[in-house]
Amino acid sequence: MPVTADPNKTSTPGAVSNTSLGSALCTECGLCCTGAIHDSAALDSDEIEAAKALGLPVRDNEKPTFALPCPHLKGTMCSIYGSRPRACHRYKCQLLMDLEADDIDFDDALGKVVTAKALRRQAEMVMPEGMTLPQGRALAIALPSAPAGAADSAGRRSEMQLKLHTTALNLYLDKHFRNARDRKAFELNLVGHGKTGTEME
Amino acid sequence: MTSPMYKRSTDTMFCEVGSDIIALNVDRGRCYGMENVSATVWNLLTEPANLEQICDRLIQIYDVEPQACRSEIEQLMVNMQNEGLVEIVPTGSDAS
Repeated sequence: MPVTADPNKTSTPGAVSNTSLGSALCTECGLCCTGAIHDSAALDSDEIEAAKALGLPVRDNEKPTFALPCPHLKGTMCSIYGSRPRACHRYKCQLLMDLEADDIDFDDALGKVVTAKALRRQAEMVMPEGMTLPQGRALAIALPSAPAGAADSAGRRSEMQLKLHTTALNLYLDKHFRNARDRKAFELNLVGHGKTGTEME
Repeated sequence: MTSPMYKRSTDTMFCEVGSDIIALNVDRGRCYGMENVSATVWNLLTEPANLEQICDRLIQIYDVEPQACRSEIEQLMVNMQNEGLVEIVPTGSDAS
């Protein structure tokens, strides 16, 4: 839910409401528009033509959507904020909801945004040029575990780099940004040394 | 008698997610998560180390009895070896 920049506001929140803190967090983040968290955003049926006119990549199916990343995301800001679809207006990621519910403080939430953006950069660095985050996610999920060829081939290593960094990004997003119903199918095998792995804590 | 020297498997790539580690064995194509103690052990293995060296360091970090530490880490190293994340440095090798 990125917002437009307001030159009258500072990016550092003071003693302000949780809603204002939420806006400040969104202004620093913008991940929901990049395709990192979701593949697409829903459109109401009466928004389809307007969305097409805005140049959004509309999928006019039974449940209309537009594909992410949004072409109107500029940095972390929405360049069509006043005419953005309702889903963009309504959307709140889990981190934003946690912030607004006082379940996390602003600095911790911002730290999670910084970490997620670093993981996103790492994932994008190992994705083929021009590939979007949703495409990279789909490819990583589809990659077979067993090697198709020699385990030490350059192609295999590139695929596994994509799988590693896409998995790391998505597990982090699952943990802190996605609502429970939206979590992705990435498998992680925990390596521990006992029943809980925390005996020495 | 000292335990074998362990090192990170050459078939493993990894990344840091906060204080956790996500590792992937290239040959198996599976991702593994390491948290807390297992992440600490992974970070200690920037250089090959044996069980005694690993436990000596862990005892400085965690509130744990040496015998319990050794027992747990011995099992952890077996698990990590079984998953292809670490391997034993062959005797007589330069451990590189």
